[in-house]
Amino acid sequence: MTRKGRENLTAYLFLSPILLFFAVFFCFAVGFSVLVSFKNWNMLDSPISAPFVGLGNYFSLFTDPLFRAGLLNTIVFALVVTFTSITLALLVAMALFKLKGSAVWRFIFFAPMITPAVAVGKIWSYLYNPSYGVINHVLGWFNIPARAWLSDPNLALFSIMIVAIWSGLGVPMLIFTAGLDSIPTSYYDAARIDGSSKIRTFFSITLPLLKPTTLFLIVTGMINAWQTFDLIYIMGGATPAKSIQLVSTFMYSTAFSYMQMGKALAASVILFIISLITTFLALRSFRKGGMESYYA
Amino acid sequence: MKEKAILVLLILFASVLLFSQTTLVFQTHWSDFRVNGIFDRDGNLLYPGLKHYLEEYEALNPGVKIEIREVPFGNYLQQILVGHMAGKGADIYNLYSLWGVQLAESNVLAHAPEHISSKVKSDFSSTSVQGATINGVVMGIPAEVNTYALIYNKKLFEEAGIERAPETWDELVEFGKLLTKKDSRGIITQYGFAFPMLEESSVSDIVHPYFALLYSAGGEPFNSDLTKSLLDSPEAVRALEAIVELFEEGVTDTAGGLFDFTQKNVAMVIKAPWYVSYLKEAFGDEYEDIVGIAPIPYIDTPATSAYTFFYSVHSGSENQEEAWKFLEWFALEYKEAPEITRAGELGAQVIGVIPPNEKDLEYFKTKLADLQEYVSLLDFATSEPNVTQGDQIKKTIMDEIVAAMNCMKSPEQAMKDAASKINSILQSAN
Repeated sequence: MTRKGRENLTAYLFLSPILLFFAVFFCFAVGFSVLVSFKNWNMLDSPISAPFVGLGNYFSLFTDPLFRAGLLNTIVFALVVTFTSITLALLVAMALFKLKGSAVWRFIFFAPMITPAVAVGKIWSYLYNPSYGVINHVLGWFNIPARAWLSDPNLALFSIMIVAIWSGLGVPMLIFTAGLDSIPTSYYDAARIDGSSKIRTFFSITLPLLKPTTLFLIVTGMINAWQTFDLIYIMGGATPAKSIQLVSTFMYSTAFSYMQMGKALAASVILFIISLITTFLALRSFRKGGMESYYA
Repeated sequence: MKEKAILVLLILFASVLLFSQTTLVFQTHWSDFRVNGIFDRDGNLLYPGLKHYLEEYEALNPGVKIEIREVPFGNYLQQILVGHMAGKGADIYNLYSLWGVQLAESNVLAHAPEHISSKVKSDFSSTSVQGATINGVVMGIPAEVNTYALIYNKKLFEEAGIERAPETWDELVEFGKLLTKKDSRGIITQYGFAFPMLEESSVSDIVHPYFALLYSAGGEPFNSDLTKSLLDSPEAVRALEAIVELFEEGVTDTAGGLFDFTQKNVAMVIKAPWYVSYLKEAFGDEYEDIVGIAPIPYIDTPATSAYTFFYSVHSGSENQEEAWKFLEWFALEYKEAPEITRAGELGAQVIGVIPPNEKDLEYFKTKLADLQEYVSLLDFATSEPNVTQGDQIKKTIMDEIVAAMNCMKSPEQAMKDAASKINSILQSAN
């Protein structure tokens, strides 16, 4: 074997564990999901013997008002949570950048990220509780009527989005901090000499140079938001499913409560395609930008 | 040499014992004191929990070991499905009857042997037998029956000058108005009535009282062969209008909950008997002075809804015979004195449910004052129908009821939508 061949073999040997992991937990899982989405499988019998229904599960999804509501809620949830989190994270990162004692603040903002979502959901459920929750109590001081934050269908999704934004602020804030750190100070010095205002500097230097960071955060944020499940599951209660259902919770109840795994997997395929399209669009619109574009 | 031989023999004997032992897994949604028993303040056991009965059986049958698998009610069905798929299912399930149809039709449950099935039919109340019967076949031994009753705060009634519990729904609304207090902003500070909106049991706590009103108005949720929803009937709309009236009259809102009852801020709730044990714990010595139990106020005629649980054996169990033998000892065989079953004793004394066995029922009716009101309702109770896709249908009904509660739909529209969605579910399932 040639030296190059040996090197290739060594490289593949090192990669083999992750390739195996990827093959089993991604390729097989995706392939299996797509295959079963064309079948009427109840999870109790063999998937092989389950009747083939063609696109039946997909047609049934688009005539199901719960799925349609879930899809709409998921899109709203993903857009609002991702863009609000990123905007707030950028503001916080800039506010804390080079601030004295910023490490403490960063830890405070990052703490919800290391708290299990179940604990976050439970704690916020207590805060939101209409009878003994702190939020209604505080609103009472300002004569604002108490709200049923989680059982009012008009408020429930909004209430859960606030929790998702709050708990998802830490990582984008840290990544933005790293992004801000990587911008050479000479650009700011030159801008100052040219008499650029702070707002102009932000829009002409900071924001364009943070494009790669922002792109990364939008893509990963959207993917995470599409998959949100735990907060809705924990905080949902007796809110009508239509008001708070996301595609992920729809998939869960369809598969594990109603035993319609084929239909649930059809929903997962649709979610996968949407996620793929969103990522592609985000990558395309942000294709150029960041430091590289300045050097090009 | 001799010592070595004895040692080898001992090891062999221990191995034979170990490998000949049958281990049964008993899956239940019970936990805490229901499994470990109730103790007095000095640590003396007052009432045995599930584990004590299992230990008793193990002592009588040295080759058998029974493990308890505690699974929260919210994850119970999922655990059965995943366990069955993975070949790791429990041997014995304490099962909510509503799930029985799907599990029986998918052959997850073993059929009860003939002698067990005939004893169930002869010794148990008809409501409970109905719950354990799927498509005409007895699939297990009834474990509990739960009717729904009105639980009210006697002190709040007294303060409002009301001397008795409401008998009709109109009275409930009237009393509710007298019992409701609001602050200067119009926010309810004391609820005349509350629905538990944010509990794990919310779906049942909303749908079952609705069913009670539906039966009371002369309606039915399904046709006789459970193939069509009748929720678009005038009776079904009337039952929902009765619930919505509480919201329109300002007697309640969706912010109220069970917690408020224990905080003495709610005058009335509708709940199953197991809730009484929580109230006893919450109120302690005050319980007798505060908590009153009465039949659910009716629209036209007295009625209530009931749901049941039954003990069943997993079809995938390698120890089916041993599992049925244990269940027979636990839930069918009578103790010498008093002549009651162990399962009935556990249910009535510890779990806080109505025992489904007639002899147990007779014995505990006089012993447990709290259960009396619930037991008396059995005469007016209709068991939750064992309909296919029951869980999905129940959630659909709850969604529509809550939509009407929140004024998102009129009761008529909500019930029309419920019927249409349920018919579509039934059509797909059949």
